[in-house]
Amino acid sequence: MDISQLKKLACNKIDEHSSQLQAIAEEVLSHPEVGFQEYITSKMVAHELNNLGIPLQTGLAITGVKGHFSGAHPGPNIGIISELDALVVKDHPHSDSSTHAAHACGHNCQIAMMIGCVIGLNQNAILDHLHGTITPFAVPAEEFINIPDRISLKNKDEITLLGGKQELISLGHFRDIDIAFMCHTASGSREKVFAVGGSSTTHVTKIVTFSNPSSTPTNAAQNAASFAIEALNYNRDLFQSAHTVRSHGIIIPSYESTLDYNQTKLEWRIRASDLNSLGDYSLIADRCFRAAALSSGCSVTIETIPGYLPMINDIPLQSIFESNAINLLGNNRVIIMAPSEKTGGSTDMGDLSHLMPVCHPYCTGAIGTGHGKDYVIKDYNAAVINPAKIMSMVAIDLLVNQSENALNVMRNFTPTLECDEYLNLQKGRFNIEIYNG
Amino acid sequence: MTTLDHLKNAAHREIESNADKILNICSTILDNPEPGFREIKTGKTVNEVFSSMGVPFKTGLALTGSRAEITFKNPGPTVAILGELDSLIVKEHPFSDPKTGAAHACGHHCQIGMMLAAGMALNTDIMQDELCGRIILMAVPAEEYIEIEYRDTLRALGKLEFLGGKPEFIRLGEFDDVDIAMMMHTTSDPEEKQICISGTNNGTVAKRIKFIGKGAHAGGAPHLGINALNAASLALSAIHYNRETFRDNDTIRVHPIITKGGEAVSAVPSEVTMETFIRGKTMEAIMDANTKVDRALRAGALAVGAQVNIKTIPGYMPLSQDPNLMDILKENATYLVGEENIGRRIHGTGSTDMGDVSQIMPIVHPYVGGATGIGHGATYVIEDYQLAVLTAAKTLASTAIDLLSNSARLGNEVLGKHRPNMTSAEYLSYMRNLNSDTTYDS
Repeated sequence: MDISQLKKLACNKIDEHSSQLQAIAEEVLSHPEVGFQEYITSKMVAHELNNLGIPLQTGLAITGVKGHFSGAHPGPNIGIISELDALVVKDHPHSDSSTHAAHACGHNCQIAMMIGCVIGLNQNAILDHLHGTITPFAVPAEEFINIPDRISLKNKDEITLLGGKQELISLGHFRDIDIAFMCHTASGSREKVFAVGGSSTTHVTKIVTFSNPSSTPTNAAQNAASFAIEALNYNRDLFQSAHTVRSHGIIIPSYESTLDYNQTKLEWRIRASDLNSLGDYSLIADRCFRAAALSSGCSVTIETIPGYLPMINDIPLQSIFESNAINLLGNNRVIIMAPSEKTGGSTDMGDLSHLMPVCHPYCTGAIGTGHGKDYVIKDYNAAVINPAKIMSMVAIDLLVNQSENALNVMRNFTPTLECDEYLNLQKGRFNIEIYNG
Repeated sequence: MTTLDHLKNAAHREIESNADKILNICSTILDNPEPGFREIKTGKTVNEVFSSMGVPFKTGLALTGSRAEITFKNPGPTVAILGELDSLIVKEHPFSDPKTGAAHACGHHCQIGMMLAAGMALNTDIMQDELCGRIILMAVPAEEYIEIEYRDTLRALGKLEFLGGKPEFIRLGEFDDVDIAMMMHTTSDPEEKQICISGTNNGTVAKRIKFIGKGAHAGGAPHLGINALNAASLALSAIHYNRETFRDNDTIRVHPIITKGGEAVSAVPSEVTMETFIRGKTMEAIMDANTKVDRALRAGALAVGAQVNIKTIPGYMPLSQDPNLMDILKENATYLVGEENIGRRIHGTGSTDMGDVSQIMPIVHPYVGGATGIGHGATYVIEDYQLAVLTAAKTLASTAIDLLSNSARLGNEVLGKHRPNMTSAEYLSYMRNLNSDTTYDS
């Protein structure tokens, strides 16, 4: 059977289930949960995969769900990734009234498109021609938020790294996967319909606690935090454009923490294009925190937490995405971004991209500002159905013909880091410094 | 009429009869304003008067100062009457020197007038017979703490050790033979009325600060530079962040200026300099604020990876006035202007080196009206010279008469009750210990 026939079978099946897939996306939307707490969402995924007869493992890195089904012949294992977690955006129209969690980044569509992809591929007429395994994998905690909560999980030995894919790598759950991809929704004008390529930044998070040594309450700790932000901003003239540097953070309100009046906490994030420059900017930030402590006579504890690595889209894999997207949507509706086109954001798909061939394209369908209260899905066809079809077609392309394309992608891939090196690198970035100003 | 009233009336008549001469001197000094340690013409004017009075005098003290002595027949305490020689620099002032911008925007020319007039009133035969002890007329340079860089140069050349006139007079021993010191300062504050009985004043330390960064092309490669202006700017912020820790009672004043903010816009500033005063009611409070300012300056440097050099220079000590001496002066002032024209000030947040003198002996430093406008501003001028010079001179002369008549009973009483904070030797060693010069790496 020719490949286009197989793809047509997959796409037709997805179309048949389009209203069910939209319902899944909407169901996830209505139960937003933050990272490592996606219990309801995780159950929904397991329920859907069960219904499709897919054997699965659950509770991976607390809430991860991993299924697998195979073609008629052995071959490489293709991971189809979706992210379970929501953000915290209080004023979002679909935010949870008590936790303020909200799907302001479209991860609910990722769940639906992954299920759609499974529905499309899980037909004997297709599987008979595939050489390899398909692993739908719903992973926790892509958004790097609620860091103090995750630190306490880490302190209780429930996790070792703070991102979902990071932790899954650490637990060995990606060891059997050879190639991984996913698709993220976008609202930007740049990604008109479908976009492949580009890269993201790497980041580091600092939990900075200023403590006033005096027993009488003063504003010293608050002033130190305020000064620290000013000092960080005064260093912006050192940021090189080529490094896509971002420096941003929040003051953790004392009423939300167990801190007394004599302590103020910052959660600060530095992003940059590569780990080396990130290291330099991280030192600048530390300098500012020490200076802030000195300025008000406080002590400061600087807790450094490793963030994500920059995204490397695998070029051969990306070109398979590109041709299938063009095939489905038309030539002028697919945007190809060069690897030098960096977004300021970061994702733990970047971590995975250092270990295996990975592709992280964008589909449209959303409106509003990512992570903002106005970010909602307007077009489920664009946000769920199209990417489900494209990912199914990519999987077919990879695993037909004795999985020639998958093997080719794997052969051409040189990992930047071995798995052990990766874990040593990331776990070695944790640091605590105490400075008395 | 008692002898005392007779003596005071004689002094007042003497002042009136010299009024034209005195006001001419004031006018000459107003027209020839000179900032501290540069009062060549003003010093000469004073010395010519000393010479015409036929009293022995020394000149060239602390570069431009002088002092004359009136010694009465009978021994007794020594009372100094001080006048300050120096002007400010206020270019926009109507009486400013067109070349130097110097201007008497603080009324010191009146002080010289009142000091000389009081001297003339006390340098008469009747006083010789009735008073005992000595009067010292002091023309002191450099009360205004300005032109720090210039004065630092004089210091480096060994011409000065301290940057104010009275600390220099103390160092030179010119106060060693003085028991009581007094002067009056003009005021433009209507609430202080004609004569104002004042209280305490802030003391101050001065700082010269240099942030040392690294120059680089500000557009092409700012990341290769270290921005000293950012360090300075952050240091200013850090100082402001500490303001809430200053207690109201300590009346701390920290008011820095940037004296050099970079070389050219196109280069990352590699050197930025600042100056500041740190004023406060007590030396303890000043040194506490000083510690916080040092910390803030280091924080500014640390935040951008720059170096900072901090020089701390002793300024003036807090001023406290002798209450018994002030009571005597107040009584004389009340006689001259009436109770309703006596004002009161509890604490002034400015600083004067009369504060330094107040650490080692009983002093008074009340205010006399007659001025309008804002002190140290372009609008500060003397409207009423009769009050600002002649009434002030009468008050000072009467007070001196009270102190030194009747075998100096009141003068000795004031001295007997006064407990100085420190000896002049202790004062000098305290001042020298305030000096520091430290460079901090980030």
